[in-house]
Amino acid sequence: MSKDKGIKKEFLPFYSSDTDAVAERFEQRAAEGWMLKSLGLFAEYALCEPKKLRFNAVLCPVKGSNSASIPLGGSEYITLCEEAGWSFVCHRQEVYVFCTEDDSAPDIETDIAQRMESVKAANKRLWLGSIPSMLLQVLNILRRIGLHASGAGSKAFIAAMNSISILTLVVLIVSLTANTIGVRRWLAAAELAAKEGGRAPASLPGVLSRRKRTALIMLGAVLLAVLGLLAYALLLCGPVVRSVVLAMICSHALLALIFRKTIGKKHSTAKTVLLVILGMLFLAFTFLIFFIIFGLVFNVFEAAE
Amino acid sequence: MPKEALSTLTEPMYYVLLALNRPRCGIEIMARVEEISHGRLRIGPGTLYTMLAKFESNGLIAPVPSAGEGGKRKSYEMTPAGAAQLTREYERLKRQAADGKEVMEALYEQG
Repeated sequence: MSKDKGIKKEFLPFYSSDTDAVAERFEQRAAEGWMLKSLGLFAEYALCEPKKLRFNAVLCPVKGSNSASIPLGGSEYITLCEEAGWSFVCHRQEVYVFCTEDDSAPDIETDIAQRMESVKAANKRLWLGSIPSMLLQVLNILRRIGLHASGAGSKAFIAAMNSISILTLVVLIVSLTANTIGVRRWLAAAELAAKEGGRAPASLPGVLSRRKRTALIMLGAVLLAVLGLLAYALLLCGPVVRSVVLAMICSHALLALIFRKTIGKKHSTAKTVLLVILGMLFLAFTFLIFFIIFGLVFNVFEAAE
Repeated sequence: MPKEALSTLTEPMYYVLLALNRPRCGIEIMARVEEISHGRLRIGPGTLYTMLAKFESNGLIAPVPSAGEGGKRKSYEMTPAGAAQLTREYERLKRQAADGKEVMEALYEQG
């Protein structure tokens, strides 16, 4: 966790079924004197007086998330929760976080069956939302296989690039599968609790630590592969490949830096399509600029002449 | 045979419809459900929100323009279809209770 003048950040990956564990974490932090301020891939806390608060993290219904078409939550959902004694803190996509000092305020979600539907729908949306990324990776691999077969470009370099794409695809599928397994375990326990007329099952102890560990292993694997490619390109390949690899890495890093806040938010379909097109244009443009820069550094253009 | 949407109501749904015997806003519905159930049933605002949306999309309730507080509080009232669904559910529960009464009385006598 990083601290900086009254602000603390914590890497907090979690599944849709882990909202209870997430709420408990925020309660713990509030008792330690850190109040949740915002929630993305990192939870951001601000220094405050230690206080005993109740938190609820809920999957706010979104359009089409259920068999009945439910309107987008947003302000009406928040208003109803506030009337019931809860204060809205922040949200990360469809996960809304509320807190209250009132011990007698009812939990925001009290129906296990409804909660199970929300968790199933969220998991389904996660898979559907990942399909474009997976398709893109598959298309890239096929395109490079085509290049490889036609003899265009460095075969070793194409093989290295394909290895990264395959690894990224595998990491994506493995993390989605791990997510689904975690969600299904919770759903099985919730179904049992629903039959017995009890409350929704609490998350297992240490679940957030496990999610963090899994996410770090996945990110580490991809980072290692990228570093491996970088080392390979810099040490073993010619100036053109070196320039291409460095231009790719710099343009992707710049895209992530500039659009990091936009990437984390949920958008309408039309806005998402627009952002994807904009992102691709930005990548192409910055790749070209960086390629020219590195090409000049490694004398690519002189060699071509 | 697959179940039709809302052919039977869950306990919270039943009580929410009972609470809509007259137009009420969300917080009033929650309070009324707790009152009718004598404190046994408490519905969270998130659960209520989803339930009201489901009822509205199935035509069982309709929003009522609310005059107070700049129209922020959304009120709902039961539609004729909602009243019919509630009546069917009440009759179903009455039949279930009546069917079980004889059996349960015999069980109590046995001991």
